[in-house]
Amino acid sequence: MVKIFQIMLLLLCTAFSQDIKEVQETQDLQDIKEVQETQDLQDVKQEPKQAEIQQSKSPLEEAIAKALQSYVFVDASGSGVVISSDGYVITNDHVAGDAATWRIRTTDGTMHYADLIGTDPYGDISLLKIRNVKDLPHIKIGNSDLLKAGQKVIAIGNPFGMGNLDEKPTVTVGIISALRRFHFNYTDAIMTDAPLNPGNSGGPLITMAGELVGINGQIDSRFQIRVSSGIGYAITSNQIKRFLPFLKSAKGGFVYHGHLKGVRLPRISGEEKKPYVRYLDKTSGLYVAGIRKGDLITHVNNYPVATVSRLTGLVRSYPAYSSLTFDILRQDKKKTYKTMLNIYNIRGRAQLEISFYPSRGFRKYQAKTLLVKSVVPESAAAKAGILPGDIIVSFAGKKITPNIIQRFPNYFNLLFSLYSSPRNKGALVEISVIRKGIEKVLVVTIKEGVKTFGIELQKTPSITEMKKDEKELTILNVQKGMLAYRGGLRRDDVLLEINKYKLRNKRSYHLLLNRLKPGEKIDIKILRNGKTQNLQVTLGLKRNYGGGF
Amino acid sequence: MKRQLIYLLCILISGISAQNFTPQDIAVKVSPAVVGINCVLVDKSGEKNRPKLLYYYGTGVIISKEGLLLTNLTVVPKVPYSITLYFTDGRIVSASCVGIHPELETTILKANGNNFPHIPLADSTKTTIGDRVYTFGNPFHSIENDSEVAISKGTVSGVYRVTKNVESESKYTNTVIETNAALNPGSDGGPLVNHRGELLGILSLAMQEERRMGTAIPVHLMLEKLLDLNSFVLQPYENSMENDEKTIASKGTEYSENVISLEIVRKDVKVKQARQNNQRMSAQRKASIMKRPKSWVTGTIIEEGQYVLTSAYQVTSQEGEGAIQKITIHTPKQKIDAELIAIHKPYDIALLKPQQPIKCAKYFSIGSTTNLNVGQWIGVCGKLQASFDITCDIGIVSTIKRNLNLIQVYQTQAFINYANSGGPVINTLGQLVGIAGHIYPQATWGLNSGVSMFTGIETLLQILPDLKKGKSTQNPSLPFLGVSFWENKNVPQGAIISTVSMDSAAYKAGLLPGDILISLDNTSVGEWADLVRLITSKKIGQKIEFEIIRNNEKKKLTATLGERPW
Repeated sequence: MVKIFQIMLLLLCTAFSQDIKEVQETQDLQDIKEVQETQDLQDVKQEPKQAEIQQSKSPLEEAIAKALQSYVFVDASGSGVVISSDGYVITNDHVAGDAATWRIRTTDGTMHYADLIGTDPYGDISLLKIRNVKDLPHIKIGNSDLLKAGQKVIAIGNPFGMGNLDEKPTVTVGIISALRRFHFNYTDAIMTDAPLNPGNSGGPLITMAGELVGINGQIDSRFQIRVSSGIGYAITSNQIKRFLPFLKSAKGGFVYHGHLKGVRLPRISGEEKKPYVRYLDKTSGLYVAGIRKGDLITHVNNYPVATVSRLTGLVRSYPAYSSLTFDILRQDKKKTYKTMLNIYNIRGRAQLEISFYPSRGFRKYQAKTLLVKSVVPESAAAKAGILPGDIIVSFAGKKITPNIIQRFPNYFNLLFSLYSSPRNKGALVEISVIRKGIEKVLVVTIKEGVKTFGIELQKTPSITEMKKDEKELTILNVQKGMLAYRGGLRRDDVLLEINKYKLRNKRSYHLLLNRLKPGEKIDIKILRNGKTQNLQVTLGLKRNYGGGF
Repeated sequence: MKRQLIYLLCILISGISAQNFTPQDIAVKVSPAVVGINCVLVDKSGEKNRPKLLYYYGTGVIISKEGLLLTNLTVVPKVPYSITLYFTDGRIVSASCVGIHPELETTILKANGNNFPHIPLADSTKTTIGDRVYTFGNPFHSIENDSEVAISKGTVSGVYRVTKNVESESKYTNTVIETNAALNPGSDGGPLVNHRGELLGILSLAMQEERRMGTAIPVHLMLEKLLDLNSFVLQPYENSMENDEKTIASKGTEYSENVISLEIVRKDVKVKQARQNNQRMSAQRKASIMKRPKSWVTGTIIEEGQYVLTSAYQVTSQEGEGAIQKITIHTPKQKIDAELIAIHKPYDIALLKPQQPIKCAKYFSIGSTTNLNVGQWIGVCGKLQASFDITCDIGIVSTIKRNLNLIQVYQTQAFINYANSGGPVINTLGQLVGIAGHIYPQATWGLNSGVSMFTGIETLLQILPDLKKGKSTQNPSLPFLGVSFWENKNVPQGAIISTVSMDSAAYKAGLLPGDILISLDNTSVGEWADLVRLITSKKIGQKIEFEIIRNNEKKKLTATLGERPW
């Protein structure tokens, strides 16, 4: 409960953060005075060196000035970089993977809208495209194989959201600490000591020559808090280059990483580090190509692989179904084989980006729905015009979901009393409801001191009392632009079958969905305007917002 | 003797072909001598005398051909059951323990084998701030798992004696070389090398309370112990090549009299029982890290010793702390009482007046922030009470004119912490360009995160007359429209209003929740952040005109901005 308050306050604070009168005045003055001051200073105190500094920029300063042009802010929380003049933008999947359209701000302050073209949940890369632009300053994608440990690099980002108000990114410099690191799902990562912090995600890692060599995305931290201690990980540009054609043709969907199937290698954290083939399935690609148990893999695509982690990491940095050469050592004899990689399935739960009308099908005994059962006469709710039978969608700009109500049955009164507190002195608050299938926005007047909102939500009957609900699988909302939307699902469609399995209720829908994988194509039979219709929809990925930074 | 001769020859040869090593050269030179260490201990002190295996990991560095290896006590704390060394070329070698020196927190190991790549020892006694250094390590098992040494470049930011070690694993309290290069769990025991790739010190987890930065135990302290085992020679000190970092640090040393230690005496207040709260572990950890240490802060002398500037947070008391009783300025020569004249809270600046002017040989000249560029090197100087040694954190300017709570400051990559907050920010000419600050527990950017703020000198000169008059500025009231927003991606352009505060400017203007605000004073509003930006550029009492969409119709409304009620 306390948490909600805090979140609310934070939201308010950010929304209302304003300027200072006095400081503003001083700043106005400053602009005028600054010029005078500097002139005075230069006349009296300044050594001639000062002027030189002003004129000649160091190579680092010049590289930074050039690199800044292609940087973009992705929404308020992430970073990105423009890679082509027609507006392709690369960022992290954990920054931009879960919605179809994004607001993108360039460093000169223009705001653009961008659509999700393709995303790579395992490789943590998303490709966005800015709508209707030409001649955008963009960055050249460099060759990350040429990097050397110790090389100077520049990272640009929006750490801690510092640039949200003044549209100014943050530049940090460092060197490449290590290459070819295997760090969770960054299987071929660049490690850098340029300070990276939350908000640097998706930002570019740039060489002194101004070429993009990596996309920053993860950190390790000394104190186990999300603050830099000099270890940042970036995805290599070469990995991105390999996936770029697939991302461009993904139509808002996923790309897949390569994987060796049916091969058993020593464990990454085990004693044996060398990539000996411990066991080979006869159906695996390596066996078919000619590799046998006991062989030592020395090179993959001419990259040396000394350890198991490097082998696994390198293979996973290639797209699925790419053909790679494997150099092996068998009884001191060198041999080379070529084989195609299998697909590395996306980990995580599948989802359709849809929501259903609230129904009686809640799992919890006697849970509350979003359906208004009764309204207390003369209460704030009654004055706002809420009627029994309305379904509440959002309140004060916050989406209301059945989950919230189940966890905090008193949620509305809580929000209400926050606005009516002596600190806020009441407010006009938006509430949107669905009435007879149409979304309506109503205005609630909250007066100071009034504690209750005045609605009672309908309780679900116990499970034994539950009857079959015809409208249970009627879609309330489809997230615009996402895979379900692209597949053709719309509001008020009723789901009948998935992959020829009949759906009875939400329970059977979720059970079925749990068995399917993200990215899988499914056949859906729906009822629309009284007619059945067949659609093919790609499943999305349910992201948990724990990873990344 | 023979060995020493060879070393001498080496020195001569290297002296003749004195060259500037790039970081890449150093990486190639030093990496082979760095090993990842896995140490297994048998602990018999456990329950029911059942022996328990304890696992330690860290880094080590080979210093002789025979395989003598230096590491930290936190990696090999006792005579171990087994030690495994991981080399960057993939070799795995076992090792034995030769000597354990708890007073130096150092363990000497011997790798089994011969002809090991190794690095020479540097004369660490002469190390000064601003010297370029590199750390090499095995953080989070990078050598063991990936055969990759993690390298980080930085400068020596201080040489001092650790008086209060806040790291639980380390108990070291002696001289350290402090650096701003990365040092993480697993790097301990690794080498700190100079610009020629010679060993300056062994990385330690020890951490001075006010600084909370990476430190290394200098190698000259260990020489005595090492000479018992083999003959070693410290390579002569050579000034690292001239660069901006070194120039700034030497300027900092030159003007070190201008940076002073302030002792703050607060009234003792009974500490209230900590409230039971359900904060997450990481939040608790962050809160404990961001808690300010007691009493000692850094100040900067201005105007020929007439006044002292420092961070306002450092010389005021927060909730739960006792009122300030006394502020004393400590210089190496004298102690002077000082009086707090005024503070400017938004800029985090406090002005103090010493009872008598502080005499220095020379004073900082005033620089300018107008010609600062992103990427330019600057330094933040500070004093540690413990030793009166100057510290100098060097980094680039990250952002020019950062809007921070709607005041303008400068952002830098140089590390700012409780020890140097209030200290001067200087450029390569040794001119004062600002005062470091904006470090407090509420700051989202934390200590030493590479995101730090300082107040520019032009701003300081602006606010100084008021400060001198004793006019303090608290966090002032802000203009207020009285709306909050609803993040909705389906709206192509504009900010959707979700709530309107009672009796606010927006309420009086007739704005309703659900309206989409699309422009303000003829400037279009793309998203809510734009609106916040626009309102912040206005003043309290100013009339604004804005356009909204209500029920698919455009409407124009006017409002008079009010004052923010909190």
